[in-house]
Amino acid sequence: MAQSQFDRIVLMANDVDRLGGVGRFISTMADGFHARGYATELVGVSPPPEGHGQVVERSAGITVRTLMPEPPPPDWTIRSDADKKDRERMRRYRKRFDLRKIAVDKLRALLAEWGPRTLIICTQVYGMEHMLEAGYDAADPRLPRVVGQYHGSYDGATRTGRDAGRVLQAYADVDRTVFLTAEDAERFRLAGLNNTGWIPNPVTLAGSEIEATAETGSTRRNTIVALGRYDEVKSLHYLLAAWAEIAPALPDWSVELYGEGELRESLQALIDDRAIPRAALMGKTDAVAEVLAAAKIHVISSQHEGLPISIVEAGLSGVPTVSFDCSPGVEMLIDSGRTGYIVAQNNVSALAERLQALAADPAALAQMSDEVRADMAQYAPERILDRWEDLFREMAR
Amino acid sequence: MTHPAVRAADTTATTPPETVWGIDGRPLVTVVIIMFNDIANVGTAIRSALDQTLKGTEVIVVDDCSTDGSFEHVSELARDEPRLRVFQTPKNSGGPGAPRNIGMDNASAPYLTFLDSDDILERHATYNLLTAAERSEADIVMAKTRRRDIAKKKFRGWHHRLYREEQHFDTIEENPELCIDTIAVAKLYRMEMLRANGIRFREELHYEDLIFTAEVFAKAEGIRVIPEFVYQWNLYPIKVRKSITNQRDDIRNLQHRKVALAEVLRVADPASVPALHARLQLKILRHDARLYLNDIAHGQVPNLAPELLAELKPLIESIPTEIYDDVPRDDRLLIASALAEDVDLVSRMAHIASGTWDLYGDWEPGGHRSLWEPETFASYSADSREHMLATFDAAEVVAIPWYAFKFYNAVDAVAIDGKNRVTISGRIPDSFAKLDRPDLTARMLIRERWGFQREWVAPVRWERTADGEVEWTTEFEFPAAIDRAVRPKISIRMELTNGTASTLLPLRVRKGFVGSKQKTQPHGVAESLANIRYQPYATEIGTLAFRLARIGKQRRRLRRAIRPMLSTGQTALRDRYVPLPSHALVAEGARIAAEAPAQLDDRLVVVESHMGTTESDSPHVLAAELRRTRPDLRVVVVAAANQRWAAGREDIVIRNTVDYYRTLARAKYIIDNQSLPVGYVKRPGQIYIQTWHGIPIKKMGFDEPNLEFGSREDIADLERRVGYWDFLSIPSAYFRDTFVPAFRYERAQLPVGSPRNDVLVGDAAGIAAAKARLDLDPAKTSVLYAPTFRTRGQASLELDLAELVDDLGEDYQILLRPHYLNRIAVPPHLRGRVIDVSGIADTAKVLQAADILVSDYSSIIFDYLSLDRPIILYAYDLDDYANSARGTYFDLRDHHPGPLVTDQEELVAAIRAAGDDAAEPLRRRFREDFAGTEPGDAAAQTIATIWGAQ
Repeated sequence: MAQSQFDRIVLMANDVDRLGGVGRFISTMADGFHARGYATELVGVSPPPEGHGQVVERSAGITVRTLMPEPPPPDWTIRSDADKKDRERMRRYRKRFDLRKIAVDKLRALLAEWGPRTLIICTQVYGMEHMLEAGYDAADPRLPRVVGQYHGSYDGATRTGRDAGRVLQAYADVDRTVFLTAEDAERFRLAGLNNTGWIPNPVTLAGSEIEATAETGSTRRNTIVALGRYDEVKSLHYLLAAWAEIAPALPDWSVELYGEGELRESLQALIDDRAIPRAALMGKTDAVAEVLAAAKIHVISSQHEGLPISIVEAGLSGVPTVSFDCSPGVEMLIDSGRTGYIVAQNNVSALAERLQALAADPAALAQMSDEVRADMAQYAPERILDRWEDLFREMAR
Repeated sequence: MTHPAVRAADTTATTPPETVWGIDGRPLVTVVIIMFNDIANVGTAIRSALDQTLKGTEVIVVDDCSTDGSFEHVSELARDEPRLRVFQTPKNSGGPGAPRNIGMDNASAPYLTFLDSDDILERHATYNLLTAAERSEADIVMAKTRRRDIAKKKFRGWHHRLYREEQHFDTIEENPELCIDTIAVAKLYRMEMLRANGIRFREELHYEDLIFTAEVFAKAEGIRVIPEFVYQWNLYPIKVRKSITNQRDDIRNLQHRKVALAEVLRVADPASVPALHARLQLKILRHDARLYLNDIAHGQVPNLAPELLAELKPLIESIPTEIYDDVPRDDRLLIASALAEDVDLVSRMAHIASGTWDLYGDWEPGGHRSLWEPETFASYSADSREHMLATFDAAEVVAIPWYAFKFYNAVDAVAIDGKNRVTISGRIPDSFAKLDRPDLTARMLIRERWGFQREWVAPVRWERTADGEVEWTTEFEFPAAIDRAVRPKISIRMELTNGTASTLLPLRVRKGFVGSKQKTQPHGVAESLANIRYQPYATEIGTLAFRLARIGKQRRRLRRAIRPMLSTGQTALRDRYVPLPSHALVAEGARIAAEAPAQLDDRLVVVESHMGTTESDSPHVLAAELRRTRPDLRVVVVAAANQRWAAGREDIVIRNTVDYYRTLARAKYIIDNQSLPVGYVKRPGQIYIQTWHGIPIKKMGFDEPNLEFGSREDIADLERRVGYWDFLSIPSAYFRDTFVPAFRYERAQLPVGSPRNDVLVGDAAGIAAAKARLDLDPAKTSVLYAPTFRTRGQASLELDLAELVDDLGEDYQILLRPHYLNRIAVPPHLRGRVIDVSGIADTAKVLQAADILVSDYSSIIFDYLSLDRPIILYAYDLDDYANSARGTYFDLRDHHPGPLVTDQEELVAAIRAAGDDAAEPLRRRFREDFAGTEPGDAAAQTIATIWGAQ
């Protein structure tokens, strides 16, 4: 048993076993805490929406719970009289609240059952809002302790709707709120949150045996890859625009976009209309490690990011990233010029310039590949688990 | 010194220290709570201290011999709580000092903070304070306090500007400003430091916290400031609860304060902490004395005023004269009035010094050394303190333009007759002769505060008397059409305008003013049944407004019962005044267009400029020309909601209302300079004239990388909107080469020229008249600074106004016209030298009055070229701009119409050199390349092109 005031760690998220950063975080951390002797539970507020789930293998010792019996229906908000007259919509609206009540009731019982030697790491505000509705009082010593988490950047939170306000409100009284970078923690602090701290996410590369064989580019093709959803936030059209500028000068290179999303058609149309050579939408991949093992440069052309895990994944497999300056996390992960490049947000020609320079200089690329691989070791799960246990000690003061 | 403290309850718990105090096994911070007869609140205060995230928080409650059972109540609480200890003073001490000292004596943690029994400690307070102290080894940590107004349920700040970020100072001398936060709470003290310096509360004095904090500041080695909020200070309604230090209606209160302040200045020893000492002296003038002067001004101490002034006099006189250099003008005049012991003058100056309105009164002209209220101050000798303080720089006030001046505008009387005619009269002291101009007119704006928010106007008769007062009267019928269902409050304000600039004056009244008992008569049956009568009243900020008169319970029931009757006729009003919600625009716009009569109104012209937010720019120049030359056409002007320029006009339609879409659907002609809302669908036969609103530097339209590779929907949307345009204004050949292809525009191009610049062509000589319109000094060179928009938070405007004014000297005046989202604050004493002209709607009027333009990447430079006057580009962030993702059509470093400077020093040099106009060839070249030559009759040519044949 670890030296800690906690016996049990509960990792709570909107849903368990969903693709994406939070899903990976709770899985990795659950494995780690379990291995260190904590009773470990994963709690999802609802099942993942259709098509977003994935099968994850984990130790039988880890309990997995889902609070809602089914995913809440979309398109449920009631804003106008027309919405009120829409009977299907009203039905979804009521369904949503019925499900919420089920979740809250279950949580109320669980909170009492878990007791004060349990720590809940609440990875998303939505879960915290359910706990508050279930009557969670951070000052009540009979209840579990809670560490709130926010996986996005402060900028992103202020840009996408009400996220920043929700974070400030829901996490005001919990013992700590943990962000992914020092800068995000500081910005939330200045915005009025009084319990801020930061710990980056751990990164593992699924199928790391491939990593071992992927040496010095012998199996690598001249490929620039992106690993992101086809949506407005990831704005992959900037990468395509940059590639269109340099493709003629790099006849033996290609661009591969791995992901899926609502902009697939637009992106494909862009490639077709502009006749952009050697650019392909590869669709979703489960084999990130293999993709990276075969690539040479990784690109992020997003509008905003939290702490983009793909930079670390690429780095662990020796692939440096060229990224827009789209979050403090990027700044934290890339030492521009040594382990990758950061270019100004949405600056297509700067992105093109960096890509071309790297592609044209194999020696520099190899050097960068070695640097980035060494640098990213600090995000290994064991190191991150140590930092969490340091936090537990600090919380015991 | 030891106190015979009474230990209330022994901890009987035998739990191990780690369980009680957390991992360190001992208390880390002691919270000392003092209490006197506060059984209602103390439990909450104690709970907030025990519920801290820092387990090592010890709580000591010291009772000052309560008689309401508080002591017993708290002792009971302590029985099961090992972290809570309770003490009591031997006899009631009457102040916080003695109990706080007992708390300090018994504290067992290395750090200490205070809490009052009616306040609350934020949950993470002790943790944040402690860790800040630990990481910096500071003697004191200061954090943010929020004041909670219990009655209004609102938070108020408390010196928040000191707490914007984490900061460290080795001693108070590095930032003496911190000493203005004098409360003993919301700070963490290192016990060892307090003990080593023997710092305790002075039990025999009131205002002991002022002395305590001053002494701590003077002695602290290491002061840490953190941005976290740690302390909630509850403000209770005065009538219910009154703390000793709030009873300023007793002369002893001031006497106590004076004793304390003398002690404050003694402990802040000028030999060791001179900056702190000086700042505390300034604080006495600007804060301590000011509290009592404000009380006098607000009539809160009617019988005490002379006595207070006599008591204040020696305090003010004890402050050395050099400290007065840092006191602003109006505060100096206030202090002079106090020294003269003139209660009326104090009342007037206190309002002025707090910025409610600007200076007015008698003065003896003497330029920079004029004498204020000579009747009072001329009798003092020239070297007296009174005379020195009453001497002021009148030139500084004279130079402030009338539209930037906050006039005191007092209502004398309000009368309402049996036919609902309202007569209001009042006067404006115009001590600096700002309103002595023939071009000014006045009107009243009467407005529904909510609901349809309609606005009515009423004429004002006014006259400037020989002794420099404006006397005015207005008479109007109280609006009969006021929304009977919503029954909003009605505001009334006076607008002064000369057609170019304008200002709004609130009407000042005090409670119980002449006429405040009168009511309007109800109209018609429904209103009579509901007894809807309006009554004038004084708002909380002392301005005149109208509100519904109170009615009895029975009448309220009746009013509810006939509600449907009161709500009739609302649909037409809603169509006219209430903008549709944005999510409904597409559907509603399409529906209205589909239902519109097939035949367009050939005589109807709809004019919209900048989405209805202004009545200037090319569309309105064209509208004026049409009204003049084509009386057969009917011009309807689009106004966004709540536009003052649209008040009282008959030719207005409010943007995004149902009526707006109906009007758009009927009009044969539409003139616009930006884009119509998404709800607009062009109808067959309509003619859409797009004048646009500037010549581009940054890439636009399909040239923007965002759109160049944008989604199909975005591209289709822009194509659809551009496809609506039938005619496009072409300001220059450069515009034709950039803008036209960038928007893939392929329809008719209007003859070269910008209607909005017609007025500028050949107007080089009109500068004197233009300056007069803006009330500028004709003898000074006016420099207009008009920077382009910068994203907030990313790049701030880099201009030190005080330094710029200093460097340029007396011969220049600066006009500011930043983007409305990048307002620049003008320091009060510079208002005569730096004039904010962002309120002037018509840019052309501002350009005409400027001898020199300073700008950067704004299209205003192209317009200004028509005047052929010097332009300076102040591009301190040129690198960011040049490297920006959006890209530009040309590089300003290669092509610019005047000197390109990147720091303020170069800017000053360039402004000084502009008189020689050595850059004229550069400007001519730039003009030929990008702006072309404006014909001066672009509006007439445009109208001839479109309507000429008809």
